[in-house]
Amino acid sequence: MTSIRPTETPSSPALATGALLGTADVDRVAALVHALLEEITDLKTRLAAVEARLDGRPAPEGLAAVQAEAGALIGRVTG
Amino acid sequence: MTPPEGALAAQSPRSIDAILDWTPDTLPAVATLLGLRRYWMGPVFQALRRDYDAAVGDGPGPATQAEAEPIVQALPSARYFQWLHRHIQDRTWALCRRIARDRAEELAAALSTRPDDLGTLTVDGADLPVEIPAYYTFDYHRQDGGIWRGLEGAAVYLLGARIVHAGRNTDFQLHDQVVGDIPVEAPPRRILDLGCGFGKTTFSLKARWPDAQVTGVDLADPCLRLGRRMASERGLAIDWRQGDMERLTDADGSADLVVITMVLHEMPESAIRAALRECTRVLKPGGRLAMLENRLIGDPFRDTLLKWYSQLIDEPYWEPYRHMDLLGACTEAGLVEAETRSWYLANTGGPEAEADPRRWCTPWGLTLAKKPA
Ligand SMILES: C[S@@+](CC[C@H](N)C(=O)[O-])C[C@H]1O[C@@H](n2cnc3c(N)ncnc32)[C@H](O)[C@@H]1O
Repeated sequence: MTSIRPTETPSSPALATGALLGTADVDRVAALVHALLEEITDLKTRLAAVEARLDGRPAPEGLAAVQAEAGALIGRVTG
Repeated sequence: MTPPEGALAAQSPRSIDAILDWTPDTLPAVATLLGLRRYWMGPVFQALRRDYDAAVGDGPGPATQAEAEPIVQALPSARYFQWLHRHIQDRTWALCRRIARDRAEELAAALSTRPDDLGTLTVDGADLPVEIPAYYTFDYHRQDGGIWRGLEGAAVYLLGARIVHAGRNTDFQLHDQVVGDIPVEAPPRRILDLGCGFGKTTFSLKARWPDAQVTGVDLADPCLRLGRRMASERGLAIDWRQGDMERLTDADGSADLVVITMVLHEMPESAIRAALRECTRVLKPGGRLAMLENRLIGDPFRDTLLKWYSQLIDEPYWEPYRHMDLLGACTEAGLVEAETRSWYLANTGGPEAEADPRRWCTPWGLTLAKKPA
């Protein structure tokens, strides 16, 4: 087992996730999540279409094609 | 689409790249995370910037990061900008961990000693006792267990590294580009890559200088094992050695080139200074040190966001590092001609993106120094 050499260690704690959002932000978060979900749904639908077209094609060529198309899709969907 | 794993692994082990590739069932999740990450860097970042401009009004605005911080923190969109990033980061690790667990057995088998292994692998043992510095035991990046305690952590790191760079470093093109930009007078014969991880930069170094003896040094032996196999699969004979860059085992004056990429920001300042002294010691007279890290942008708004970024991914030493006098530390360590050049990853907007306060940018700096001839 590798031994540990004492050194200085971080003194200030990192941002706690729970502290990031207050109740006043809930509406804004809801709006954000809604917008994100729309994008994700769109992306998933397109991905599903890409994958469906791959049926019967052997890996890894098929996978590379999905990856290439997914990359292009992400670029288009998210700018 | 993927052949049955058990059957295939028994005959001829798949490559690490193939074992840790995305598959049709993980790809939608990966694509979603990549999409979210770019969404965060794009529209969500721009919404925050608009709020900032409105808060600052038509005046000159804060001149320093310290002045900007309280203004940015009070913006209505600030907390969900932070929250979204934290969410993406945690989902990324959850996904990568699931994939690493699924492939654990095949991965372990692929890493057993094999006749086609190239180079050498030397890890902690009687001949090379390694002590892990305590600062390193902190779980950087919010990755539970870190990258050094076992193979799963190393695999999670490898998978996550593709997502963290927003899909722009999948083939390690960043490392090829930065290694290509290291100026040398003559081809180096002995090269050290300190904090090499699983070898992204190490591969590029050996590819650029195939006749050189290239050694990757890192504290994380699971990463070194991954790196050696991946290098062997790429036909690259590289030596991999577990060790602490504050206490190198190399002889004085034994290296022509020492390279450190994306490591210093994870070390406390005292450790960085010790590492720089070690670089000076092991370099030959006239030898070159090259380091790639993030730097300050000089735009108080985006520099504040980069500070948040380091806090959101649990990087306790990153912000102090960005404000540290690295060039002064190089000089103090006995190096000369220390300079930091702004460095831009291809296809990410370059100096124009950095000059435009409404665009997210990752401000890289390539710091070069030499040991006196
Ligand atoms: C973010 S990774 C960068 C890896 C690689 N250089 C690259 O560019 O992708 C930081 C690496 O530095 C290593 N590291 C951190 N502190 C170190 C130390 N004191 N000595 C050796 N390696 C260290 C970590 O184990 C990790 O692999």
